[in-house]
Amino acid sequence: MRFINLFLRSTQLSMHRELAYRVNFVLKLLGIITLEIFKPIFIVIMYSVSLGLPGWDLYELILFSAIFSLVTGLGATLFYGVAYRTIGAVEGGTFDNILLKPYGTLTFLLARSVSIGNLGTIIAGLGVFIFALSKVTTPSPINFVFFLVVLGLGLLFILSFIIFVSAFSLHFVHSETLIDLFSISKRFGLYPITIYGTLGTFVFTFIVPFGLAAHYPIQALFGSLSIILFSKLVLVAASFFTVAYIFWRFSITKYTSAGG
Amino acid sequence: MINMNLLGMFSLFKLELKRQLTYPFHFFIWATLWPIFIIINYFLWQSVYAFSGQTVIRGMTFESLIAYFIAAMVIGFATEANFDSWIATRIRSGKLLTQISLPMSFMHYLFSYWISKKVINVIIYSIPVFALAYLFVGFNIFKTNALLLLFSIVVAGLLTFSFTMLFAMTAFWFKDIKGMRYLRIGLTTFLSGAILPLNFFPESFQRFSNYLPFQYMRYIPAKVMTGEINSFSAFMFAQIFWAVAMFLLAAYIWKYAYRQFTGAGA
Repeated sequence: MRFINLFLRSTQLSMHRELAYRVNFVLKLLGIITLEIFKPIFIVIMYSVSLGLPGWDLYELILFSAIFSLVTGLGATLFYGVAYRTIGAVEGGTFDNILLKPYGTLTFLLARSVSIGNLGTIIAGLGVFIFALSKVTTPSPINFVFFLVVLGLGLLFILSFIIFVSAFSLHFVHSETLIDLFSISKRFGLYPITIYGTLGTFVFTFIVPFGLAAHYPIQALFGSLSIILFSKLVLVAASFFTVAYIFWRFSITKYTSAGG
Repeated sequence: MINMNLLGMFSLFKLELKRQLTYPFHFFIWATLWPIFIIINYFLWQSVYAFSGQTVIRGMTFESLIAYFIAAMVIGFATEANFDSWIATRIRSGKLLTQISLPMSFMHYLFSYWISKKVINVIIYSIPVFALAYLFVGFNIFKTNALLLLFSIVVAGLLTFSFTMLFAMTAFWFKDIKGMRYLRIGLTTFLSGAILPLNFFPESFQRFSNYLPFQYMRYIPAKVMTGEINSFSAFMFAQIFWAVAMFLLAAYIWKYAYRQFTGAGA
């Protein structure tokens, strides 16, 4: 309950911060939405000059890119701030303040790091998702619930990576580049991972599961994700989270304050 | 006076080089990240060409399309300008005072800062990208008309610098310009041909695009790099026209924008 209160207050604060410059907030939303809309436009152009990707029609691939935007937009809104806040606090010598809060350190960071500024990606993703969904076979309610669960696994993977980056920043200063590393490499999941061949599909499913960003959620939505593969994906996401959390706990014990 | 400015610019250039090389890990990570865009495009378009059974799409083979992506990326290393948020932060905090108090014009200062970034980017990031290009599609940069390429890159750089400056100056009125920045990035990335060659777009759009400056930022220089444009053509004159026009417009607006600065917060 305390976490939810803190989370809601933090969201409210983030909203107030963004609305301090209202014109900028609106322009930022428009700018991000414009950038996101280019993804389906890219796909439309691709299908206008060719047959596109095997096994995917135009609207299915647009739906795919919308799911990718949704997952990455939610990840950026809810979790990226954890890494930025940790890195900034370590560099500025104020991480001790966070350690002293009457909350678990990670819980506090999660509740305080909402970034409303990334809302545009979610809005655009949701808009394109609704549009594209209306053009393909309507999924059953069970498949839709299944889809939401796999979407959650994708978010868990993003959170795990962010926890890992935050933990890393407790050992090494100026590690923002690791966020760039994630932001860029997650684009492997922007298109169906089968385009990377058998090896690529294996790597992006079990080693670095970028397939959780859109490939597997859309399979769940269309009812083509087997229970066995789903179980394996749960195991992969849970393992990632466990390893990241253990590394975080270890890093906290090794953290030596640089003043502040 | 000119010599003093050049000397100052060179000193700043050296200073920025040192500052940026403080964290070599950053460069190492990005040198491994840039090729990811090429790898994704490689696999994506390989699937598209294979599934469509076409060897040529819109006049481009698979190899020439990948070569184009590589060229467009390298042109980006050399010309992209993202200093608008840097300027906005300084205007908002009043720290711009430090830069405008220097015994050189702000434009000279900014240009030195920007050019040092570009030099590092080109040197560090181009090498792995060109190596990949040579290995995967046999793209050889040394076969390009070097003089024409250098000319086209310099003009594209001036055009991009001036265009970004126009957006950056809105910070004198709006203070926070992240929104404007996203719009600028969206416009330039898509319309300049950075993520898809413009000949893939519908023909009506291509005709419209001829009246816009964006294609001269990436598309035309990339075509020079891939050897599709290998002599001084009408494209070059149009590129010069847009670069000069944009620079003059930026310089003109700067005079008015600068008057808005109050140094509050300094």
